Amino acid sequence: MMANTSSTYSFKVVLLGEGCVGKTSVVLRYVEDKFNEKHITTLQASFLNKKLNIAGKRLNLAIWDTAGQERFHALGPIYYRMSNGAVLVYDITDEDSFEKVKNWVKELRKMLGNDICLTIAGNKIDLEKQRTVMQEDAERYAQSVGAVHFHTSAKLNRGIEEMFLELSQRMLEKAQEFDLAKASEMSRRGSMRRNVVVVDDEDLPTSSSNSRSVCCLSG
Amino acid sequence: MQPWIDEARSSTLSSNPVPMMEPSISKISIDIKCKKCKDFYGTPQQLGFCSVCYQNHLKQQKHRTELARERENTVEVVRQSPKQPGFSKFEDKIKQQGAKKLKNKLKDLLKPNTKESSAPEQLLLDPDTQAELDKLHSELPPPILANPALEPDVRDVIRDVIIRLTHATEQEKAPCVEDLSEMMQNFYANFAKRMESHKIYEDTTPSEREFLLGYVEKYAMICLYPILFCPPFTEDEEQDLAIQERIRQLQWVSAKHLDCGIEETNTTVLNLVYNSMGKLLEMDSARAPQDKLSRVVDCCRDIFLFLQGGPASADEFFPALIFLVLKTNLVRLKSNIHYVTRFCNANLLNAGEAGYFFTHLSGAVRFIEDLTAHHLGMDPVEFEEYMSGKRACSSFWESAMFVIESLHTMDEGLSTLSDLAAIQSKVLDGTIQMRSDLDTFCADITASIDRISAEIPLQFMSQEKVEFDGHLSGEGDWLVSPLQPQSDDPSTALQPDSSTTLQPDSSTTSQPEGSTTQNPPSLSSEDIIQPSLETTQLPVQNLKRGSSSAHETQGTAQHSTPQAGQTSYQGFSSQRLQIPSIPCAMEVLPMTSLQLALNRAVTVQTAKL
Repeated sequence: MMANTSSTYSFKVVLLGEGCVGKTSVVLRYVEDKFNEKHITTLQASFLNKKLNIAGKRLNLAIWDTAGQERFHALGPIYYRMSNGAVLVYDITDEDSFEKVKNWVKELRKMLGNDICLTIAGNKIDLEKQRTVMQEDAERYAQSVGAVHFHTSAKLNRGIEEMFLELSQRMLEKAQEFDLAKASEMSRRGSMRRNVVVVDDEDLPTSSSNSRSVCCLSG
Repeated sequence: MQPWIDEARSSTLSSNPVPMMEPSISKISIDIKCKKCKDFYGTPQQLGFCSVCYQNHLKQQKHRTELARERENTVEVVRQSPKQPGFSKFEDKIKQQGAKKLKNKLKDLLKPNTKESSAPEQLLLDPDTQAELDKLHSELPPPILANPALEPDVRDVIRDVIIRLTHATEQEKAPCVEDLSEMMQNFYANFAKRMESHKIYEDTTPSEREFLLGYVEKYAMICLYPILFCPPFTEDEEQDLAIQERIRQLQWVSAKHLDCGIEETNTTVLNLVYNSMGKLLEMDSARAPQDKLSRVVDCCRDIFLFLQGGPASADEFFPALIFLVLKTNLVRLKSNIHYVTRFCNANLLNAGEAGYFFTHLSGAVRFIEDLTAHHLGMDPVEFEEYMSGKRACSSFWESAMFVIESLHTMDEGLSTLSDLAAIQSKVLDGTIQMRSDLDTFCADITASIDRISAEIPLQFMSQEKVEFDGHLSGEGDWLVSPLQPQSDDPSTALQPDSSTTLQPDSSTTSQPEGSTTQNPPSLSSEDIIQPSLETTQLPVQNLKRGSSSAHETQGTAQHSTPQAGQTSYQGFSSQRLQIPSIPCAMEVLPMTSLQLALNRAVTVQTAKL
């Protein structure tokens, strides 16, 4: 949900992924820039805030960690309700975790349609040698569902900052489109808003996903 | 229901009023005869009754409690017991609804007023609510209170929404709670817009606006709490009962079942769990949705304290929260969650930490509702056995919590004791301090006395006085005969006469002679220090005035002499007429004798020196 009072955008980002894929490490690396360190200031890595500036716009990301255990899977909708973005994390050495991501994506698209910006993160690229999830497969899949794929390593601090930045940009664009649509809707009193957003949305992530994932791979 | 009612009753019986009845009275009447029959002596053990009357008294008491118990059974008002909150909640509900009906009636009665009076809602509020509102009001930041236009507007806005919602609940036969919720949410949005656009609010800062929005929400919701919390037109109550029962059935679920990292054997962890549970329980007592929400946040923050091993992710936090909800078994859990979901400002609820924790709480409740054997990774048959109570689980948790609770009570007792000890030591310190103060004070006093007595020759004073008195008395003896006629005079009026006539005389007589003028210098030379002068002055005054009065009052008392002298001055003018009547010869004699006495005193003093 976005509240753009006084030009600050607040976005809710849910963090989805199976138990041991390193969700916590990813988010702690992003918010605290720390990995497995003793002096991490926060007691919890479940709910974290991150403020950033994009093109003179102030953004506030509320990152919601969710329990990844299978038994809580059914509760998903409670958590990702009203979220603007989702980061789906899998472990590149764990095929199962990637399958889980696919499930999540299906569910998210079903529940929230294209209102949500999706990012898929293949984590633990420091363990490249043990990779079981093929890079091409993952990227192709991401593209097919309108998500952006990133290769990340919380340990080596790879791709995480870029991933969140890119997601934030997309969410910002969507919010601004939404505002515009709302404004035009108010003037026209038409009910075209939803369609307009969807059309714009379809184009946006796919075009950006290619370039970004490539750039990240090279980096 | 029956067995635990009995339990509750027996607990009330054990503390039944018989042994508690005003021990102070019985203490007072220790020596008094039986309170009732007055024939035999009563004892404090028998509340001041004699043995026969005491037996009767006990019987009456028993009868009364039985009557009360019967009444309780019929009305079914049972005190809330934490062990079986499911039923006690139900009882509470009945009471609450009774109160609700009463309140509605009150509102109907007061309806004509609501439109006109400035604060209609205040008329309907019970003292608790009023106190809460007052507290809320007192927390308003000064800048908002300073603006005179703000407060009336805010009050109007609040009143408006309260009236609208109460009407909505009263007029419709079956009001839809979702509509009410929407009304409230619209109200929040509209108020936020109003603050953005309205002229009154243009001076407020964004943080003040935020605060005002929170204030309005709290104020309105505290007022509306009785009609909107667990309203009778929803199924909240049934759901409450259902979840309560469900949680009761699931009491055997342990931390291990849920895979959560709570060390059930660690005392510090258990203590933290206990604290956290307490905070969750407080959720029910808060009235405003925001307050309920903040209790949830407190509780969840505490959960992270007992999840050890690095910052906890949702993977660890969520099972722990479920476990906590299971073990707490909060009363009216569903009602609380629904209430917050419906009436808390949606902006607040969907964003931020509070939103996160509250969502997880809802998730936990949902999980508990849908819990199956599969979720716990156990055999369905086994699960059923546990659920139906066929298989009892020697719950470690129960006993652990019991122990923790007892430990807490003990801790409280200990802290009270330590407080008392602190007070006692303070008192002791004070006593010691006081004693030393007293000692120093005594020492100071004795020292100063010593100093003064060292500086002032005490012996001299006393000697002089003694000497002088002796002389006076000696003179008195010697002067008895000339005074005789005056003391014979019964009227006091004569006394001033004599003195007034005397004084001019004495001045005239003493001056030429020079003996009296000689007297003061000789005295002052002797008196080196002031105080002694004073003491010596008294005799001198006595001497001077005594020149007139000493003779008159010789036989009576020394103290009256200065008085006589004073009255003599007053009487001087008024009784002048009588002056000539006093024979001159009579005066001469005493005068000469006085002179003699003076001279003698002076010579004695000088001789002493």
